[in-house]
Amino acid sequence: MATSTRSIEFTLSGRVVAWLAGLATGAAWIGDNANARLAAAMLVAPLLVDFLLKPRRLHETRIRLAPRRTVAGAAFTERLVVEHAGRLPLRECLVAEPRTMRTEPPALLATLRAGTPGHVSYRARSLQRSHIVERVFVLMSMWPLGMFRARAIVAVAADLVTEPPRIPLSVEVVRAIAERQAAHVGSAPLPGADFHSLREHLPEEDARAVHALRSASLGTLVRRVTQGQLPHTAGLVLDLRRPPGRPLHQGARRFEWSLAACASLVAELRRRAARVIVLVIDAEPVSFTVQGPAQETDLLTLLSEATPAAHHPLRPDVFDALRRLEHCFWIPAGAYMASPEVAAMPGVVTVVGGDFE
Amino acid sequence: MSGAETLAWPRRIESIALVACTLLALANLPAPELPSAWVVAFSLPAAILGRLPRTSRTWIRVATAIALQTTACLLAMQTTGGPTRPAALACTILPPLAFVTSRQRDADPALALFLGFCVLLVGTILDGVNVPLTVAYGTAACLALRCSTHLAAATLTRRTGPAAARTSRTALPLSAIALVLPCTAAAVLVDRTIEILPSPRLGPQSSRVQDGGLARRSVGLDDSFILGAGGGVLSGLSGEQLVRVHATTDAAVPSDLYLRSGFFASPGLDRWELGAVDAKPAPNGGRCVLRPADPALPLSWLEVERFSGANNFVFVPPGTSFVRGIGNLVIDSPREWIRQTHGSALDLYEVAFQRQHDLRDDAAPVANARRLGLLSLPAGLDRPRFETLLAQWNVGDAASQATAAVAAGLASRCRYDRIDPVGPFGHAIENFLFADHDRRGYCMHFATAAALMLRMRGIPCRIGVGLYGGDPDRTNARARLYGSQHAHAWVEIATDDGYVVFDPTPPPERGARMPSRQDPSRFAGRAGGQDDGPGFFAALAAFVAQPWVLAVVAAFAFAAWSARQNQRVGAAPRPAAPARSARRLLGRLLAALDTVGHRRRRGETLESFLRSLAGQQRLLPEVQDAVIAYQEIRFGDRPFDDARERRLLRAVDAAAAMTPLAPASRSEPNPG
Repeated sequence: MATSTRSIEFTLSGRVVAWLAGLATGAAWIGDNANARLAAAMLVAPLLVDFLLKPRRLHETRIRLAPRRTVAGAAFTERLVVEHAGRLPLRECLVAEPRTMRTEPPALLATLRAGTPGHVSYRARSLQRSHIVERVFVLMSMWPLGMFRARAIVAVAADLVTEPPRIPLSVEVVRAIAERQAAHVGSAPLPGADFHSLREHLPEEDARAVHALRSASLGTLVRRVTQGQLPHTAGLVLDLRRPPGRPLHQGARRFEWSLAACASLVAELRRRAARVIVLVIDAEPVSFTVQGPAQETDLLTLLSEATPAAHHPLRPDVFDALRRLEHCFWIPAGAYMASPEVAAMPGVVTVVGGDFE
Repeated sequence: MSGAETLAWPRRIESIALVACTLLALANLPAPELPSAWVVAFSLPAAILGRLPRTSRTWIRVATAIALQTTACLLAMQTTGGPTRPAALACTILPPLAFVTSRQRDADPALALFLGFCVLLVGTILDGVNVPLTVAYGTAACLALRCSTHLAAATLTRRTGPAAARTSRTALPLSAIALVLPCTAAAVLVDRTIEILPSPRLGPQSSRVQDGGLARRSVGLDDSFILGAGGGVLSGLSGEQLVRVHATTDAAVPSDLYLRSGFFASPGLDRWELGAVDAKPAPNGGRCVLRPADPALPLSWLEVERFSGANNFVFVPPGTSFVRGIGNLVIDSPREWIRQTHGSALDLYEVAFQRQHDLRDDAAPVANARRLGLLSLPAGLDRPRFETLLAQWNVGDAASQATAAVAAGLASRCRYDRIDPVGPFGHAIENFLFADHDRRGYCMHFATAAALMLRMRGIPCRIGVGLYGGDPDRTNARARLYGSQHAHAWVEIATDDGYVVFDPTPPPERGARMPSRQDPSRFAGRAGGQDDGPGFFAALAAFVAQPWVLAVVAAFAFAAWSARQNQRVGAAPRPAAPARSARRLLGRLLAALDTVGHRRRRGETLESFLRSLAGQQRLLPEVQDAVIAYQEIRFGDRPFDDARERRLLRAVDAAAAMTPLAPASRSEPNPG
């Protein structure tokens, strides 16, 4: 669904000229003075012409754009297809998306003929983690004389997923990840870790481990897996619950940081080819396994939509999938630090952000 | 092409347009009043100062400014003498205009346009409208505005893409030129509209007169005057300065000096005409003799400086012997009529005149008075009424006695007012003289009445028109300034000594401005002589009934309706039908929550409301789910299907089943 609104308002110069024109017109009428009449005519004329020629059908502009997935704060280049359905062409039209262009200038559409699609690309940056399904654009034109500003707000149904930003993980967390990897099972006479197997190379991984010969023969990139980097399964609990009796709207900073930490942790684990069983404790707990890009995307979408949840007790069976693991990361995003479930976990639990301040 | 390069061309055009605007505005200033040396003296130093680099230190700039300005003023003083009053006034506006025009930084272009416009207006006030210059200024201003708007948009983007680059060299000037025509049309339209609107200053009058079924303007510079509709040789002017009169001797110009520009000899009940004139070209370069000087009387000299508003009129006092210093004249000596074939701005000519004798009873009547048409009376004149008045006022045949009696009679019977007389009669002069109660009129009515009565007594006379009174010139104690506000009409009695002025208008009102716009129909309803002032409600009704008032009210109503439409559209877009259905259910849900003590505050978002419920541990999952369902429909373009309807209905039921809050808890809902 795309909705749109429109308005015409004075610019600063238009407001000044309008005041002067009003005064001159009043003086000309009351004083019956030819000079005042001339002044009034010369001041009113540009206002009148500008008002009459102002594009009034800005809101009849269709905007098409692809769904976008980005990271909070990261710059991206957005490409729009703009089509004007009015009768007259649009001239000197500025296009801006307030949500993603707070720090970026609007794009200028010099001339857009009616019925002819025009392409606009601009640099944007979504600063807030979010998932929106309707993007709002502001079209603005001061053509021709800049006395009035025609403005239209066009809403377009298009997904914009803004994932939490990636942050550097603390040393303890990185060490915990490393410790959970399998130790060397034997020692090779040659320096370096022992070869274990080959697996598909993921785009974000270090390319130095790519096996050149096998990659060439298979036609796809494969990498070596050594004994120390055996894939393992990690557990991750993201607790969105606020502590009992605490309001939901507080603790936003910790919450955002925790979601960013969660995204970074999953990315790090995935970089190490780990399989991650994620439990998100929201109003209704959600559990799923991240073992590929699709699940990772789903998790990040979930993180982009996450909000603090009111405190509620959990059923014991929620943690069934995690109880089998030796190690588990626990992120108390809602700042519920004294969760009894942490103590009840059988394996080692690393609390991420416990010392967050 | 980089952004800076792309913007360079529009900036250059804007700069050229601004300079053109400024130069045109300066060119519109009247050169004799504001010599170009002084214009340069007040413009050039500031322009140079505006071009000084930013890095210059302040004291260097100040010293440079002082040095330049002092030098320029000294040079101007040496070349053209001391500054005139307009030049002294110009020093307040020309330097900033030149400075911002040459600097053109930040908001300078807008300021330069505004100051240039002010200077253009000053020139127009001083010297009248110069149409080519004004149109050229408008064109340049359009171009500057267009460039400014383009630059504002392009600068806002901080970078211009290829599309913006294409809008450069030809598009901007062409679009500006294309805007000139509608702007000119709009300006003319506005000018005419304001002109048509009856001004409150002139009272309830309008500028049209019915003549032969066609409405037309009666004002203008033709040699005629329509009584009851205003107009006359000077009435088309509105406040312009016309002449400055200097006395060449030490004596000041007398304040009771009449300056005649023409006369009316051919009467009508509603219209005075010039009558027959035997105009002959006067020899150029020499004296133009109107009548031989009386050697017994001293000759006085006046120097008349004529401004452009005076067009081709030659203002001379009655009793003028000759005029010199002005060319292209046509004269009719017997009638003492003089006119220039085509006017030129700022003529300076000298007039030699003699103070006239007082009107004597033994003065011989002019021999050819009847041939000159000085005794004719309008056809259809109601003579018995006039005769009655003449008898009542004891007006005799002797000129001096007759004039005194007529003046006294008019002063007692009629009063001066700058509106047309109203009454039951079909002619203005009859309403002026014979209306039952409110007999009023202006100088032309007094002069008409007097002239007709004198002619009925066989005294040859005509109506002289021109200027009277004037204002002292502040710059010259011996000079007086006359504008169209000093237009006046009087009677001139023809004697062998020439035309002797007899002014029947009450002395305090002489020289008061003749109205240029009259509309007898405005007072048609008041015919029959009502009280002096119309009743408040009658005046209000008359005011409201005017078509322009209705038009203005309609325009305001349209603007208000349009603004409301805009506001409605802009503030809250009308939700689609599914969203409206969902909103209805949401309204029920909120009402149910309200009944149990959870009222959503005005302006509070749903999210905030839910947080406040959660803060009080009163947020039901069904309610949260219903709000999510509503948001999906409202903002997420999801359909209002059965599942979502059920979610909303379930929340309504759950909310209705909630335990009401204790009254103490209701008072202050948790804002969290």
